[in-house]
Amino acid sequence: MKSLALILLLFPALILAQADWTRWKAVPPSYKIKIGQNTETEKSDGSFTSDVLIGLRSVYAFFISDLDGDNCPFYPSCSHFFVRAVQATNLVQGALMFADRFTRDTNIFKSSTQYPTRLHGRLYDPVFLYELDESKINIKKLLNPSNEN
Amino acid sequence: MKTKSNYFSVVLFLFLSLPFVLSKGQSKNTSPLFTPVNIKKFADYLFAEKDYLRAFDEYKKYLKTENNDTVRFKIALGFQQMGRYPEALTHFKGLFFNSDFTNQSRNEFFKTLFLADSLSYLINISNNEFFKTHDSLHVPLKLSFTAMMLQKMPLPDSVSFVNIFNKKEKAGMSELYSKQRRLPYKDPTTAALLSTVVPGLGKIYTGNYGDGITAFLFTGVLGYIAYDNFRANHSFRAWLFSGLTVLFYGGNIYGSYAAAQIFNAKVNFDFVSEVKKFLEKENYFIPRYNFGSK
Repeated sequence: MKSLALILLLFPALILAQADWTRWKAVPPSYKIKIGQNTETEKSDGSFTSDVLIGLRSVYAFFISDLDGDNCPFYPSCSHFFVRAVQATNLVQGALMFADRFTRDTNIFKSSTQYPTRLHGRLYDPVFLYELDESKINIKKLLNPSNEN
Repeated sequence: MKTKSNYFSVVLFLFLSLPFVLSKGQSKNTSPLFTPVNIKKFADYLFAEKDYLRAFDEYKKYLKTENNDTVRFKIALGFQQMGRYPEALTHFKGLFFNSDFTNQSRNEFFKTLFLADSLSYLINISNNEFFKTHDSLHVPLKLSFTAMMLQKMPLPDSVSFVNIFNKKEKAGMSELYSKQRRLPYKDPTTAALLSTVVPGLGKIYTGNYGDGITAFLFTGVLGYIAYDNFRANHSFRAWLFSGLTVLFYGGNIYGSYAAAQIFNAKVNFDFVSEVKKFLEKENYFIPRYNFGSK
């Protein structure tokens, strides 16, 4: 009887006991950027132009951009901006948008009034501002880019 | 030994049956804490603490036994405060007729529509008999005029516009009215034309001086390289840089048009923010409530 009582009392204690101590161990901080963290990716929209551009951008990233370093002050970076601009509009308009972006990139005096938001540590300059469609220019979204990848 | 064992069994039985005894005692619910008056008091406290979801639970318990329009109105207000506008609108609508809060609920209905950015709908229904209020506040009309101002719809002249507002609101609304008439928009076509004449001038027109100077230098240098290569009979390089010049020249014209559109969107956004700030200050032309112990 005593042993039964003991089991009845100890059983919940055993079940609820904290056994997983590894979770609470002190972990030294790591400042390395994890692979896949803050990476900008474009999904193909199924068009031939988009596929070719994504491919060319990957080649540029592999041979030039990744070796050169993460230098573009904007988010999305200029190469990603080009791909997204073409996906959102067409090749000609996308090229013009890219030319404008590249000119703005070379301007060394970038004001916080022109680029009020920072995303992933860079100046947030999304494609929807430059599509020449007033209904798409959403300042609220520019100031709170919560859904941007 | 056997007596000791029996004694232990009795103690164990009592110990194990303790939860059942306690839960039975609770289910009787005879405590004076749970009277409708006390439930409402607790709900009012939660409401004042902005703990709306818990307050709603208590109010619903209260409404099972009592009939109280103040409580129903408070539930609707709570939904509005939480930003759950469709639910708030439904609850306010439920108080439109045969209620102590007929006018208040209609006023709050219009405020909720404004908060939900349903400005076109607000303007459309402001003269509808179903939504009309019968008090001296004229909240639907005031909010409808403000919405028309934000939607850039044709407004009555300044005197007729301002006259519906009371003395306290008049100064602020009059200032916003005249501000709306002279918002400093930039014309995108002018910006594009300026950049066509002189690369970068359109950007300077939209206030992006650095971009304008950069565009001028960028296009100028590329153009000069193309010209120099043509002069030196370096045909391939000449055409390559000519292409780049055309691309960046076109890009700048395009960018100037876009920059003017972005400038205008920012002007609009700032004006809308200013109007909303004013409305918040004036509580959307609705007097503050003092529910007391109702």
